[in-house]
Amino acid sequence: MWLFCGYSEEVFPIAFKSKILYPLIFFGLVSIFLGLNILIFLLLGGLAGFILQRSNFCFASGLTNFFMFGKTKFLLAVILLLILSSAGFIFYELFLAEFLSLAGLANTAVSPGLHTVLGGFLFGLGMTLAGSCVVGMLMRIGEGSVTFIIVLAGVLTGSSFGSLHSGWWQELFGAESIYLPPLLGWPAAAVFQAGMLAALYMYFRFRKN
Amino acid sequence: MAESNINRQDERNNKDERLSFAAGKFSYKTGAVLLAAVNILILLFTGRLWGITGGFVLTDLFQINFPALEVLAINSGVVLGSFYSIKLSGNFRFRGFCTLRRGILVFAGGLLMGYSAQIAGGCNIRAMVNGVSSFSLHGVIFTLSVFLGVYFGSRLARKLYS
Amino acid sequence: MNREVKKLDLVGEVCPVPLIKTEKAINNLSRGKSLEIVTDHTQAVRNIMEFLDDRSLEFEIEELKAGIWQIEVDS
Repeated sequence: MWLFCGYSEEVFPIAFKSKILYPLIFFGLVSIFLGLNILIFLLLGGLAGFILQRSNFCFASGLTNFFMFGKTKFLLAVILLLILSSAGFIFYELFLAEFLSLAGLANTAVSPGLHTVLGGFLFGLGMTLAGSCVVGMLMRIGEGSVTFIIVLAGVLTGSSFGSLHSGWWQELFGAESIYLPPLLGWPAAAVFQAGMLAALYMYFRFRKN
Repeated sequence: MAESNINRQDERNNKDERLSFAAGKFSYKTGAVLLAAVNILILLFTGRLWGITGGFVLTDLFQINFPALEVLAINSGVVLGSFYSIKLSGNFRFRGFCTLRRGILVFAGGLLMGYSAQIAGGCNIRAMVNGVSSFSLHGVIFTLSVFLGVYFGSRLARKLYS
Repeated sequence: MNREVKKLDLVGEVCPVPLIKTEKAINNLSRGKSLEIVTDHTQAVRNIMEFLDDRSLEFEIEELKAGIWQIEVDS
């Protein structure tokens, strides 16, 4: 396990102290002062952050590389993420939600409309200017990158103003949320989604530049 | 010609191994698989789809809105986890000290991202990845719009930074 | 090795700048010269290595100190 992290075995005791002991002490303090709930959320985020940094997973870089240089490696990985998440969500919806008394997916659908288009477009533009997407920003702050603290300041400001205006946008452009499974029924919806994503994957995998 | 490229690639991979940068590096696909697992775990533990910008609405946070605080906790975790990862591979450094010009541009970028995520109902994780994965139409529309935005943003970036 | 070395300092730059500037520098690199790229952005290292592989260019990568890398490209 230490070789995986890049450490030789002589370094093990020192590595143990700073890589295992201090984090454990930190977890203990968080549990005591902030509660076990917060610890779980920190750990979940921590897992995500670790994976994001290890794989250098950033939508802004991946997407701009596609549009500027035709690189599809990142896009293929995102499609894989979509396929696996969809599968997980289906399993959740059909077998786990009731069992764990959690809300079904239908409640999470958001109303689509022109505001979605504008929001998406501005988000894409913002990502390219800022140099990262919102998750990427958090990951880069963890890497020590000071630029992304400025991005965070922008995101905080923008989110706060955005939330004040979001009601207004919804009223103007919002439509009934459209969620696939009620329209096609579950097996068909799953097959349709799988088919579309697989087709996209094949397209990007085999397109000639 | 193709053969010598493949040999060079092998040499390169061997060179990479000796760099701490590459020690324990994950490929994008590995990252995708693991992130899908985390995505589902977050749904199971919070009862809501994973999203980032929900934790950055100051008005919600100051009103001690619990869902927003939960998301803030997860976001803080992301920073810590990323820090742990880069510390482990020995590449931590205070980096990215940019010019004033770039600072203004990235602030503007953040402003756009924060604002647009609120009006569209999510950021790249909540609306793009989870919107599509939860079979909702807004996810598809958002994704296509983001692509359009990145396309034009790339052209703008070329003009600004060349 | 008496190659003339052109330097490209990308320390402090974040996406998408490193790759844009690298591409421009590579395109303007005349035969017989070397390009020395210094960057501290982890994404840039990945992107630049992939970019140079696509162009079938020989390069050496070295870690100057924790978190800064130097990539030397021979044209």
